[in-house]
Amino acid sequence: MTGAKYTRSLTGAILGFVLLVVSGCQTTAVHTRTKLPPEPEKRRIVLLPPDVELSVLHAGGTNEVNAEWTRLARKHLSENLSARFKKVKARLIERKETAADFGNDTREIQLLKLHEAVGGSILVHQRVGPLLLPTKGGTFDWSLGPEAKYLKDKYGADYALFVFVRDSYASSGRVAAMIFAAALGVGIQGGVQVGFSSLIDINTGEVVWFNHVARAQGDLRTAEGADETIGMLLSSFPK
Amino acid sequence: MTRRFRSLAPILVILLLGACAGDDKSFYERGLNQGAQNAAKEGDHGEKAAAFPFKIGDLAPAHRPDPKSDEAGIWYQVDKVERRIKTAGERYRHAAVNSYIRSVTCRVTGRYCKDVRVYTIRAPGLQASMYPNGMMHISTGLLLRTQNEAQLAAVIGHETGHYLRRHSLQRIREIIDASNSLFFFRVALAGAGIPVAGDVVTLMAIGEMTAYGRNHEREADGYGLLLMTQAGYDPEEAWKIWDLTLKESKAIKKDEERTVFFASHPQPEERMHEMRRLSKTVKTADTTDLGQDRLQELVAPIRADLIRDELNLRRFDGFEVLLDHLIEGGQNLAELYYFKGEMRRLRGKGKDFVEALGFYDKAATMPGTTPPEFHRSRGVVQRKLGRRNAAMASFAAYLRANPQAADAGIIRQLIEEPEK
Repeated sequence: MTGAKYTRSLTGAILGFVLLVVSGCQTTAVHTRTKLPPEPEKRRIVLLPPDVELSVLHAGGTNEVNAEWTRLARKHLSENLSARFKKVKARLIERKETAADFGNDTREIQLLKLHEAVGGSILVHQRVGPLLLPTKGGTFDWSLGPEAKYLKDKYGADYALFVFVRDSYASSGRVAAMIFAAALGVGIQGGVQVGFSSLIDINTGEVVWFNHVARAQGDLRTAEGADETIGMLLSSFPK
Repeated sequence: MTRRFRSLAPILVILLLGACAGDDKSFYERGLNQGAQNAAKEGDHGEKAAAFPFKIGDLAPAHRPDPKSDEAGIWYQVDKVERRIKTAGERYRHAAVNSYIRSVTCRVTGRYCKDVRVYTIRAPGLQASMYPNGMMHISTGLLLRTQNEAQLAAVIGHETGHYLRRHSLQRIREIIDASNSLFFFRVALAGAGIPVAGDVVTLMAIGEMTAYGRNHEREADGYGLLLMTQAGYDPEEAWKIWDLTLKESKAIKKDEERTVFFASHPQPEERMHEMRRLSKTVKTADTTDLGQDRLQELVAPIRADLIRDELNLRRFDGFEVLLDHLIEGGQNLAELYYFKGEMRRLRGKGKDFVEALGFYDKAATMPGTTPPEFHRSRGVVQRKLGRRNAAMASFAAYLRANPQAADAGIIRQLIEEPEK
C-alpha cells in the first residue's frame, strides 16, 4: 500500500528541463497555414479547456501551485481570447469543463487527451530542450488523425485551439537565494513562463499552427500581463 | 508566510539535523487514539484537533481548502489527476464491484462517505493509494488478496487515515521546507570549498523524510484499525494482509537486499506485529463481522481475470505464493490448479511441462470450473511433450466448448497438421 502520492505527466516532462531552456526569450511559430479562410462561416474556433498552472518557486527549487493565481489566470485567458477573436471576426466557441463531462462522451475526452499529448510532444520533441527528435528536422507534419472531425460535428467549428501555460514566480526566499548564490558566483533561475498554443484543423486533424513561449518574464495574474503573454503566444496566429 | 521566511535561515538545517524524528512505533497507537479522541468530540474535526508532532489537524467532513492556501494548489493539481482517472482506460468498470466497494467505503468512513471517492484500477498486485483531495485508488489485485470484507475495510480505513490526517499536505510542506534549508546549506558548504559535506546533508535529509513518511504509514495503520472497528469489522483481520504481502515479497525479492533507510513504508513484520497487538485492545463482542461470503461472492466470477493479470507479470515465485494462499481459501479449486499448471506452462523450464500436465489433470478432478482456455492449454502442453493423440483430443474439446473462439482457426490447423 503506497501512501499519499500524486502524479503529473505532461507538466513533469516539460518543467523537468525548463531551467535548461530559459536562456532568453524564444518565440518562433511553426505553421502549415498562415491564413484562415475569409468567409465568416469558416472562421469558427472551438477553444478547448486550457491547461494552466501558476506556482510559487521556492528557494530550494520546489514549485507550489497557487490555486487563486491559477483561477485568475484562467479567467484572464478566457476573457482575453474572446476579445481578441471578436476583433478578427472569428467565432470562438468556449468548450468549458463540466462535471457532467466525465464518463459520458468518452470519444471527445479521448480526443482532448490526444490533443494535449500531441501539443506536449511538439513542444518537447520539436521545439525546445534536449529531447528534440534528430530526424524530424524542419518537417512539421503533426496530426490528431481524421477522428478530430468528431469535434467539428459536435461544436460546429472548423478549428480547435488549445493553450497550455506553466508560470512560476520566485518567492521572497527564492529571491534571497538568488542573491545569496550570486554573491558566491553562482547564477540560479528565478520564475519562468512556459507555454504553448496549438491550432488544429478539425476537418483533417492536422496541426496547422503551433507556437510556444519560454522565458523568465510574463505574468498571467493580471489582465494586462495576460494580454502581453497571449499577444506573444498568438503573434503569428493565422490571419 | 512565516514558513517561507523561516527557511531563509540556514541555521535551520542544523535544527533539521538535530530534530531527526526517526522511526517511532508509537504512531500506531497515536493514530488509534487521536482518531478516537476526535470521534468523541463529534463535530470537532477541524484544525483544533492538531496533535504533536504533526502541525495540522483532521479534516472536517465536506472539507474544501481555503482558495488562497497552499492546500488549494495541491487540490487543484490532484483534481486534474482525478478528471483523468475518471476517463482512464485502466479504470475497472464493473458495476457490481464498484457499488460493493462504495458500500464498504461508506461503512468504514461514516460521515466522510461523500468525501472519499474510490476508483478501482485494473492492475495486478496489492496497491492502494490516497490522494489529498479524497480520491483513493485500489487495484483489482487487492480484491484477489483480501480473504474477506474486513480485510478490505482495513485497507480502505488505512488510506482514509492518510486523507483525514492530511499526510500529503504535511509531506509536501516538509519537502519544501527541507529543500529550502538544504539549498542554502549546500551553497554555503560549496562556497566554503567542501561540497561533499552538502551531499552528506542531503542524504541525511532524505533519510529523515522517509522516516517521516514511515511514521505516516504507522499512523494510518492505527487510524485504519480504528475506523474498521467502529464500523463493526473484526480488527484481528487487519494484520493478516501483511502476512500474505510478506510471503509474496520474500518470494519475489529473494536476492534483493532490503534497505530500511529509503523505504517509504515500515517493514511488514513490524506492521504485522503492531497491528496484531493493537487489534486485541480494540476488539469487542460487537466487532466480529468478517463479510467473507460477501467478498467471495463478488470476486468469484472475475477471479480468473484477476489471476491472469497477476500471471502476466511473470513473477512466477510470487505468483505461486499467491495461488497457494488462494488454495488455502478453498474456493473453486479447479480454477486454481489450472493456474498452477499455467504458471509452469509459461515458465517452461526443467520439468515444468510435466508438472503443468499434472496440475491440469488435477484441475479436471477438482470441484469448481476451469476457465474456457483450459483444454487449449492442456493440449499445448501435451503436444510439447509429444503426446499427440491426447493433444488432439484436448484441442477438439476446446473447440467443442468454444466454437466461437477467436483462435479457433489456428487450433483447427494444429489438429490437422501432419504427424512428424
